[in-house]
Amino acid sequence: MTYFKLLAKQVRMRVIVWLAILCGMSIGFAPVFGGLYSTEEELRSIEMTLDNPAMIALVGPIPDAAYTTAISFSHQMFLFMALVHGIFGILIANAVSRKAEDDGLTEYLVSGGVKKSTLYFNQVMLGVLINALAGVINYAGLSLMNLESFNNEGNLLYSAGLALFGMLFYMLTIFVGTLVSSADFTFGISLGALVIMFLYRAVTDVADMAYSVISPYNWLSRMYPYAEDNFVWLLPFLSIIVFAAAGWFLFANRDIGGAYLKARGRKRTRKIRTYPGLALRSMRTMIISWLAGLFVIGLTYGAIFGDLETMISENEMLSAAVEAGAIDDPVLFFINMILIITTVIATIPGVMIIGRILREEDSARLEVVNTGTLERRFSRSLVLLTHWGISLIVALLGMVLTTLGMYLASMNVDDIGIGPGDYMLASVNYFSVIAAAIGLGALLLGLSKGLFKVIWLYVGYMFFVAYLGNLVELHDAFHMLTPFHYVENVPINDMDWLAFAGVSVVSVLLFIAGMLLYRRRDLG
Amino acid sequence: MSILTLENVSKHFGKVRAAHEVSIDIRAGEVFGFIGPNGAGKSTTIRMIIGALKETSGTIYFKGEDIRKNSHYIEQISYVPGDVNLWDNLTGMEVINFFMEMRGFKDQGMRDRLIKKFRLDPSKKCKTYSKGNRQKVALISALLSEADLLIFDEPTTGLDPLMERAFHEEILAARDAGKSVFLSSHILSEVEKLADRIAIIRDGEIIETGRLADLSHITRIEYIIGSDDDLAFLKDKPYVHDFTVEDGYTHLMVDNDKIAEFMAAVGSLRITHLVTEPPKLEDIFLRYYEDKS
Repeated sequence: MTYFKLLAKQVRMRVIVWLAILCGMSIGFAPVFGGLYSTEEELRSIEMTLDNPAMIALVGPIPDAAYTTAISFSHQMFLFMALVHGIFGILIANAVSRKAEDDGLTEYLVSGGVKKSTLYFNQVMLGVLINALAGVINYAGLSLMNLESFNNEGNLLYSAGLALFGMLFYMLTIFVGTLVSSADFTFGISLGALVIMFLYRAVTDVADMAYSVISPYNWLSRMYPYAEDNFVWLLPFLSIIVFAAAGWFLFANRDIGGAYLKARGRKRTRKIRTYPGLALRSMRTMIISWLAGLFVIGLTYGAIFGDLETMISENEMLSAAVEAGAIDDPVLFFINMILIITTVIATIPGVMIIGRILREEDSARLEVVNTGTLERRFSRSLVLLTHWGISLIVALLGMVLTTLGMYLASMNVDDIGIGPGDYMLASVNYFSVIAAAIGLGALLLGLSKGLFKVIWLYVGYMFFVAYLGNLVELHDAFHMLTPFHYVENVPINDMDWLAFAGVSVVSVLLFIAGMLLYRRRDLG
Repeated sequence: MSILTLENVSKHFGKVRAAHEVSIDIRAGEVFGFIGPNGAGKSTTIRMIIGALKETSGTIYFKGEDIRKNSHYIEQISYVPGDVNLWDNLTGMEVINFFMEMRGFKDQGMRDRLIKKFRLDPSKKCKTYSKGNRQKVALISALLSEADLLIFDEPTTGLDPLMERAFHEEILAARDAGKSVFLSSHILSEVEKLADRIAIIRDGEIIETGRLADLSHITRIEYIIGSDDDLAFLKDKPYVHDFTVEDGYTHLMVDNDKIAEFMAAVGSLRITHLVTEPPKLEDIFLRYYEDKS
């Protein structure tokens, strides 16, 4: 078997799944855009919505041409898909190069007579091949569907742009892998580059796009597929050759398993003096990802606020409710519904954080750290209090970031009768609902380890009732079991501070009951 | 003076009696061995002592005081579980320092000495550690404390023989410094080497307690003998068990308290090969149950 066949076999399944996802998203979403924005008017309205700093930061600059379906597709999909293609390239490249080297596979091959040049050349070729394949599938798919306003040049540019973008990060990863000492490190640097380049262009696209040109994402933006079709912006991707060549130079001149930049651990040992410090450190990535995700969810929802009137008039169930007089202000009604949905989404990280205590319990770390340590520095109560506190802070921050995203993305829409103050008030109001769910989670935790899972059913139930209860008649008993029933619908009505206080007090009582139980129950 | 006393302590999980009427007494300044096969209730008993499990009945006293009356007793116990899990993204040093912070223990010289002695590379992240290295981190952390009672549950299962010896030295040093050690193991030879007294647990119940020498009536020693003479007559002696011949050598088990008689019986024979195997835990149980039935 040749080395290339071996490589292909090693990554075959992963590549197939990835290609199915990548191409499925591009090809699958293209016709959806045709359905979403079919009339001139709808296209104009979405263009208006996207024409604000928050949305430009998210999806990129708006093409200077009549906003057609195809243009809206490439404008809204291109950079996001590039990010995903980049991850694909990084993961596969790292698996076949630095990861294989770390695992000793490369050494094994070299000892079996495979030349270093053969190794490197085939790894590079694999990257060229799989990314080219992604490009061919996308191009074929988009062409075959023959959608209106999707011209041939645009299809070609969109597909080639994504394929080259994936290839660029594939080669970058191979290059970094020859430089540094481990697969973890390689992954971190490559993914870091992918994310930082995205964030960088988000800032410069808003400030002055001239600066964005350093970022490969901006090369894609400047192609403007289906509008200007600037093929010349494929040229910067020639840097792929530079990375491949530089990587070969480095790889050829070092030992298998060696590195030019060695990460000799961290030089400084971090001081972790408290349990909250430890908990924050081990949940940091999760918390930041959730907060960033909630902000993006807020932006995304906010982006459609301009179209709410149209969307509601098209939805039979909703327009019937408006006509029947059940809904006074359809836009506010809808925003409230979105707030309720995002509240349930923001509940997830809160519940996850309080549930993380089970990881400490399952691993027996809780009981080990508990012995021999001063009660005031570490105890079950302190651990549970820590997780409770962090989960509440994250939930509140999550709500604030969600509504902030909504506000920023819908700033330019005129018909919305609420301002930033109302959004903040709504965040605080619905935060009490999350606190109640977290309190219930603490109570279940205190009762038993296995029972905690029930909280996820409850979160699902909250979602079901809150969402459906707005549209169809549900018996009051269903509503009374969720905290949403007790607090006021804030952007629609005035804040009911008494109800807010009531739900908050109940959430604290639930937590205290949970903590008292948790202090005395069996661990593990 | 007793440091830890268990009085008829039971732990029942539904119908399963993980520990039943366990009574043990550990004196200040001794190494107490706690032996039994896997699943006998060793860990359950230990986890009741450290408060991770609440006993179904019975009372645990620490320095004469009921532990339910004073939760601070736990500050004076240091514990290493059989299966050590650490925080993946922290380095060994960070974990050790965290434990020291939690315990208010400041002796960095001792920390560095132990890290060197156990040959631990503390700069690596815990997720890259083998089982043995994770165990070293936990053992070092446990030794770095002012605790009066050290509890180890199967402490040496991941350690190589050299590190095992280092650990044994530290156990004896702790004892000499006036601390008490509660050592749970299924390896009799380890407990024999270190423990002043032992308790044997099986199916959740303590079946013997005392000095190992005093328990010799329930142990057997295996002899592997090569001889030109015919040894078949030994088969009929009441103190000889499991008589077999393999590859020309005779294997047999002799009751520990009848060694003198056995020696007298073989003393006049021309013996060309003699190997003695120390008592194994399984043999103790075999003997124990045979005696019962």
